[in-house]
Amino acid sequence: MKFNVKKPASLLLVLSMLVLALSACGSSDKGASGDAGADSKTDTGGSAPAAESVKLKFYAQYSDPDKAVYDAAAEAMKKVMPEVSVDFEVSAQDDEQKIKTYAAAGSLPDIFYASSGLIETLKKSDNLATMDDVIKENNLEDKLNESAKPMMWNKDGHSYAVPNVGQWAGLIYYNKELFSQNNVKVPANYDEFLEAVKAFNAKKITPLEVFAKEKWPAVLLLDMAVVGSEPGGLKKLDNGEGTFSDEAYVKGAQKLEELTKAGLISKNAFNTTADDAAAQFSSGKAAMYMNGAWSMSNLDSLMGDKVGILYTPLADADKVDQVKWNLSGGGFNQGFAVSKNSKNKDVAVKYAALFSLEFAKQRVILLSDPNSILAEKVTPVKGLSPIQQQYADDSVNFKTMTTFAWGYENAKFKTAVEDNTQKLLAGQSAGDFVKDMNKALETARK
Amino acid sequence: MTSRQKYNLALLVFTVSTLLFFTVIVMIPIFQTFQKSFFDWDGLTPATFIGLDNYKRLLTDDDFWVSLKNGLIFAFVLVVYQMGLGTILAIALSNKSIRGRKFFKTSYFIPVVLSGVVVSQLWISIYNADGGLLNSIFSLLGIEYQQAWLSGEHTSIWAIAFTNAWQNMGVQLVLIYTAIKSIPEHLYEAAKIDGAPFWKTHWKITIPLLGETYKFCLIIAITGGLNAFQNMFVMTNGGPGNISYTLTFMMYKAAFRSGEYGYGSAASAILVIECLLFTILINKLVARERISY
Repeated sequence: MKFNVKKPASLLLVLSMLVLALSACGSSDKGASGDAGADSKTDTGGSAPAAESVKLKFYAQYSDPDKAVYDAAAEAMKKVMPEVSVDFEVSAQDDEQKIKTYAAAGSLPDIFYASSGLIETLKKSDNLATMDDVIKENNLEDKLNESAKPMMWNKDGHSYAVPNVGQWAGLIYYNKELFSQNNVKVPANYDEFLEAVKAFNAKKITPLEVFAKEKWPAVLLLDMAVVGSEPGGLKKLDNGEGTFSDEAYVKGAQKLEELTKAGLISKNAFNTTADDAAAQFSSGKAAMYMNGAWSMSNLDSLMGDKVGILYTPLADADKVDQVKWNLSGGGFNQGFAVSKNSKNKDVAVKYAALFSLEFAKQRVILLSDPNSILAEKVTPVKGLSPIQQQYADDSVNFKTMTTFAWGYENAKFKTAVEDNTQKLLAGQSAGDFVKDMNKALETARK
Repeated sequence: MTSRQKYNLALLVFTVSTLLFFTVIVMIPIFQTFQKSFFDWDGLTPATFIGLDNYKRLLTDDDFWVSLKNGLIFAFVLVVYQMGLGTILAIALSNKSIRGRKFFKTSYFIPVVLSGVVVSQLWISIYNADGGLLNSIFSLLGIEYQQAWLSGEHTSIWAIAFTNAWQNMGVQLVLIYTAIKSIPEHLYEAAKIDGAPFWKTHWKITIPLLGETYKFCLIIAITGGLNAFQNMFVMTNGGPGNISYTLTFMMYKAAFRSGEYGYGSAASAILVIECLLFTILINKLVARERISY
């Protein structure tokens, strides 16, 4: 009898493909720390012995310029916890979607960078491990300077992330050469800022380079216009206090409307990325540039002494002396957090907490951060540039800070203010902005 | 087992496996989307049933109406540009007296194989408000018409839709060209003997006989327009504000930026219904009779 193998073989192939495909669709059973303990043969069950080697998955912004800092901190940690090795996964710049998807799928990395907004979200879903015990056992609070100590604790009294970097203010950088060449006064208040915008616009120089393809820079600009009258800035609204009809917010929106009409930003601002904006500013095509204080290092390398910084140029002239140290930017309890479901939770918590301080130290050494959070005196390899030195000197005077948009805890408020502030910068009237935002605020607070 | 039984078994295995794939990958997610649209859910914590509240909220949400309008504009641009130009070019390319037809066919299809991100970046520079190609052409022609194409309230969605239409016109062109090539030659010969002019020949013979192809082209153009996402994500990130939102972008904002998966699901459900409605309407109204030669 002749046995025809072709048909059964085809059927087998089809069925095996089906099984493979369906198994690929199925969820992994690795749990919250897929790579955790990859080197160890047994499940450590949250209390791995110190001698046993542990591999932790670490989701963070492991890219330039921070990559060297992560590497140096990981190297230093080998002396403190030699049994632990980390496998970095580069975080996506995606409004924290990927990390939230990990959380929804129950596969959070062991350690990950968490903003204060993400901490609030993951707290609600019980995904975060607390660091209270490790902080106390290792006296970590004593290792922070006084200004950094409050950053350790969440408003609920627990710590979910040891701070890894100091508070960064939102700044307006200016090109000193362009200002002097065009005889424009460096603005110290809103009236002077408006004059500068008009002067540069008349000379066909972009007054302020804003990378508004990202949503948060527009929010920072509005926050800067508000903090001159309300030190709580937009964060106060995020906290559930007040409305956009309050005088400070109406006035802030009106300032942005007036500045937009005067030609504040480039017509391409909404398609401009951060790199494009920095290139435009450093090449002298824009007089000012808005970003966080973390850009000082990069701008200094691009422009040297030509760049200067402004803190509150959108404050009213008659109030500027009282409010000049009420700044936009900053952040709260944010840093490296640990998944509550990590198979190596205890090891991960200790590692993340100690790594955070080592990371802060390495940032000062390698990137010349002028806002060290450490009590210990750390010296940068390259020293401080003039603007970094100025920031370091001024930072002792800082009275209040708000937060950047990613620090808002109410996600609905965050997306509404991001979208509507972009519209305001695109030419929407302040009245319509206030109306739209009040409506959005009602929805966000339900 | 008889050969008939073997045939039926093979038929069953192939059909069931395909249906299973379709169910797992398409039907179950759609069902879950509809189900979740009745819940207040952040994607992480347990969902709360809220009935039709998400749908009621959609009706009062400016984002929704802007998204709906933009989706229709997007679909309109795809239909007019891709099918209109696709037809003209396909007729031209099917004319044997035109030289270099192969070269043109390949050229028109090249944008289709390019990455959407690359094409979007290319058109971002063309639309650049300061010295972009488009504004420069207007300047060269002495026309004082300088636009911020991608950030203007009335230009943004049209500019983005055109980018997509330009990139994918080649697909429609190939479909229409293939359909034209399958029209029997004797119909054209008869028209020629009767003295019908070139355009009248195509108006009376080619276009009516393309009915079934047009039906398919319309469905992919309209559903493609309503589902558009990639171009606005790369070119404007939906902005400024919400001016270049479509329903897919609104769903993305609600689910992934605001953490409102229930509300995002309601936007998705409307999108699915919208696409289904258009597909049913096109099937009902276009080329109802099957064309056979």
